[in-house]
Amino acid sequence: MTTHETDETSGPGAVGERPDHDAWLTACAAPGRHWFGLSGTLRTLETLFTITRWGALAWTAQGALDRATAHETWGLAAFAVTSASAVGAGWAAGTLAERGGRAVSTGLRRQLTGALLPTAGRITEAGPAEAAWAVVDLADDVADFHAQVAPLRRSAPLSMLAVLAVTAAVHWPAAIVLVLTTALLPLNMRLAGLFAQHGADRQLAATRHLNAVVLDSFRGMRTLRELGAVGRRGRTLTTAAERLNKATTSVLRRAFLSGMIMDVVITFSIAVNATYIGLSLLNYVHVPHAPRLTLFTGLLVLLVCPMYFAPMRARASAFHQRERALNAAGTIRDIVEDTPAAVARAARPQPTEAVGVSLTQVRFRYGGADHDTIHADADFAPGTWTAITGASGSGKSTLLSLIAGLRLPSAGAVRWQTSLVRLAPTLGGCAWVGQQTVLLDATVRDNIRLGRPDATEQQIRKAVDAAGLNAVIGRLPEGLNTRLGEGGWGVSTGEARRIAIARAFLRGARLWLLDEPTAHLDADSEREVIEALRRVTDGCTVIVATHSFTLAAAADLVLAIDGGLLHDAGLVNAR
Amino acid sequence: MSGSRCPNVRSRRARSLATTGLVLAVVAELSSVGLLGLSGWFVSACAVAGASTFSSFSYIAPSGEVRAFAMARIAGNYSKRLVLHAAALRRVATARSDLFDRAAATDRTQSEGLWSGDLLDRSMADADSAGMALIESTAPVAVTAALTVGGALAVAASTAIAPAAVLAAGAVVMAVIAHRRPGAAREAEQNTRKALRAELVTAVDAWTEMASLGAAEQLAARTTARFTRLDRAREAADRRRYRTTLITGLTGAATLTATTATGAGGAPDAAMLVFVALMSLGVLTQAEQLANAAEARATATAAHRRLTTNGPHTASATTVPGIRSWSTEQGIGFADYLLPPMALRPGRVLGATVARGTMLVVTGRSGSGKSTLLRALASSLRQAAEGRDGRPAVVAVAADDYLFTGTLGSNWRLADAALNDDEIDERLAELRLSDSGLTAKTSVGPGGRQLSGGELRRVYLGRALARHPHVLIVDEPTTGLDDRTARHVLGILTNLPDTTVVIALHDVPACLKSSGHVTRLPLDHTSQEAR
Repeated sequence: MTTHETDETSGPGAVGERPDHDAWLTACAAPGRHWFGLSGTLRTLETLFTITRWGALAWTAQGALDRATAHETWGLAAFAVTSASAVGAGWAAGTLAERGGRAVSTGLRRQLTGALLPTAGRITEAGPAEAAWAVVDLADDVADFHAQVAPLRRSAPLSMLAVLAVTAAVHWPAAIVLVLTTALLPLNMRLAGLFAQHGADRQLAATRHLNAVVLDSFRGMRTLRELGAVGRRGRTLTTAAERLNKATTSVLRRAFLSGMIMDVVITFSIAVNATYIGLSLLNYVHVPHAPRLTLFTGLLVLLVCPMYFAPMRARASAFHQRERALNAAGTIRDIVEDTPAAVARAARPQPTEAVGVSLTQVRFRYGGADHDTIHADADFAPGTWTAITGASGSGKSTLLSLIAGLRLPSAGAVRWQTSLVRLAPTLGGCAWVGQQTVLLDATVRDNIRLGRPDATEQQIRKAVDAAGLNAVIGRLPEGLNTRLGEGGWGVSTGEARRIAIARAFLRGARLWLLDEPTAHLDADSEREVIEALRRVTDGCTVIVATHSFTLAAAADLVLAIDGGLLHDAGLVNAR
Repeated sequence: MSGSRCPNVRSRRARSLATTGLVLAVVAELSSVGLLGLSGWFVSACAVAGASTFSSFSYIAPSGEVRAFAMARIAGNYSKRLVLHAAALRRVATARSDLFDRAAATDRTQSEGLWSGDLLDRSMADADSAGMALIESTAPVAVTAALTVGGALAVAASTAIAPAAVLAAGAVVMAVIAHRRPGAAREAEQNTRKALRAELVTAVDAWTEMASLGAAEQLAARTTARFTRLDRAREAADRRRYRTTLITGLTGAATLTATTATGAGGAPDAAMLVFVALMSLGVLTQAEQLANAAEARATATAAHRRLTTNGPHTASATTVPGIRSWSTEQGIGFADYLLPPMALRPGRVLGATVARGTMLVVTGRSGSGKSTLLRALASSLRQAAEGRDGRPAVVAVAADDYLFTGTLGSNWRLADAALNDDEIDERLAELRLSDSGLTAKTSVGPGGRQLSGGELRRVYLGRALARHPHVLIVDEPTTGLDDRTARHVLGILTNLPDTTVVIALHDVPACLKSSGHVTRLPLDHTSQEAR
């Protein structure tokens, strides 16, 4: 399992994807490995204490049988001490494993955050519901698996060996029974592993689907009411939930079944030993060359027997957790993989000068697609307004994100240029206003100065002015200090868009990329947004992807995307 | 509504399933402890019998009992798990759909303030903890209670009252410790988890804008801060939990020793001593589960509270201005609507009537109050009139309606479930949406992101038309459309024979001026020229 550990660099979809996922899952444990090792040691210690404890109990019983009160008292005292020690060791082992688990989940969350909210280009196309699910739940799935299994790796063989050694020392024929049963168990483990493989992926898919359906349903609640579709959507939700339940039940049924088979084997083995011990104690059977059994030895063997199987049982039940973790790791990996390393801030174009853009043989292809989404060759002169039109899904937004440096082109080069320098796009160098403005759960002021945390009050006021937000802020109960919520709660869509404009203006970039800035707006709000954009982009280069004729008509140059190809739609009006 | 009996039956079935599961759990654990005690006694009894020269010890009967207990334990464990999980999963699903129903039933203005990220967390995690409490809390408590009683009785019957009393007292003390422990730590952890999920739901959508602003680091820092907080809250909660486990564990060890010691005094022989020790061991091991059970109970209670209370209230609950409206066979009308005064216009009282099948066009400059009037009219008509002949009274189309992830067809079918793909394609063609290649099978992307503004507007409109309402209210139906398409869309709206249409526009376009079916209501001028 650990042999593939260094195999991290091999690409996805390569031959033997599963072992690859295995290796990745194993590698996830790295932040907690130290704690898991310690925890494993303590678990072994717990086993040793427990063996001693049973010894003490058997000794006490022997004392009672022999009417030796002193033995009995000492035995009880030893029993109390070892019990307490076992509890203590178990407690420490649990705490350490938990700590390791937390280290693992935090490490995964850090990686996921880096991929979902990167400082360089974003590769992943994961939606909000999936992102939240991966960060909150899947990271825990992986961490829980490691917290449970990683300590076992050290403690399981040691514990089993200790039990076997004690049994052999006390009465070797019993140890032989244990060893013989062990031969039966790999078969069972294999069965458990086979059982576990099925259904876990279905469960994962059902969970992903349910997450998406739930988020969608709550976001579109008003529309559902308007359409009288609340009941129908409720049924969709119920169906999705039932599908998840069904998938979960099928996974659980397999887990329980393999657990039961394991139970039968273990019980059988213990029963064989118990019968043998009982009959020997009754002097009905005697194995040649075996030491004579006493109550002490017989009871001890019987009591430690189940301990021999406990780690195996834990391993078997971990198969299902493992499958779950493997699937979770797969999803996380899809998000995390290929994330470009965080880049140090490059020099940004001087904000005093408008920035032009040149696209040289730029092509872009989505991962897994068989054709280029974009094929563009164009220049955008500094200080001009360019509109890009084209049918939906023709790649306007993709093109803008390439220009912004949010995505990296598959071929060709995107360059920003001023009269002095020519450089690759850097995040933070341009202003972007998109069709879906999202306001963070923070005050209006904090939302506006996100791009420039050290902005003075005066600068903020100026930005508010330029975006035409004075009336809006005057209306809010606490002015600039009003808290806004998810999706711009408390302000209308158009007002949220203008807050985004103020935010971008405060940042002071001289290149503006507008992705359908007037989508989802009524005509009044559209006018207000356009007015605000006119004011703030004075002297800047503006590239706007739009369907709005009001916007396109106002541009210096109109380009069209058709079949992924960017071409000139004719000079509309020179400024 | 038609299934008002159905949920009752279902909940009764769920309850009997849960009860069965609990009974099975008790049976399984009783056999497990019985097996432990009995086999210990059996081996010891063999030793006692083997040591004495003359004994009438029968080997057959106890070994049969041991076998029976072992079988019961294996079968009981398997079926208990199956039944309890089925019951718990059913509870989770019920909690989820209840939450949705409750959110759907909340007051309109309030639901605007319900946060989707917050609700997502409730729907996934809270519903889970509330349902799984059956396995993690109810079952261990029931089993511990049954075992304590059963174990104490068995100990008392085989030896004396004293060890039984010690055992019972120990179990009670452990229960008290476990019960007292769970505190605010676990709830704090859940709140931080919710905050993380809500932040992510927002941040992932906000990234494009933020990253361009160079604020990606800040955005990531916000998320990092939230998961660090989660990590810390979890650490605190875990430390607390493990402390409780340690204390109950030590109490258990002490009780076990005490029970065995008192039992040793009263036990007639070594076999009974072993029986008492193992019996109480079984009971106390089970009682150690109480710490986790109490924790799960606290979690579930908090989750349940969140599931049944409403979301955070909106700070800007817009109050709808007063209006009087009516809807009859002949059409609709409204009166007593107070248009607030503005800089270029004094306030006045508005009213109008619109005949069935005709159109009212409300015009006015930005901020003249068109949208407010339309909202007020929609909500007032909705209260005034019930839908007739299976048609809804009012459907209003807002500029920021929602498209659900899936195909255009599935979105259309939300309005009218009977439509098939061909019929939807027809309607798409009617709205000239098929020109840009949209079909019923086109996927709209999360939140309709694959479509342009003008397309979205027409999809919203078409979806609303599929409801076939008595009154259709549309705010700015032509935004984002070129003149030709705008004329076409307005043409569709004027030709709805039995739907009364109310729209808001910046200006009355030429194509509507000539139409006889159109009533105009300008908000900019002093005089009311409803002709």
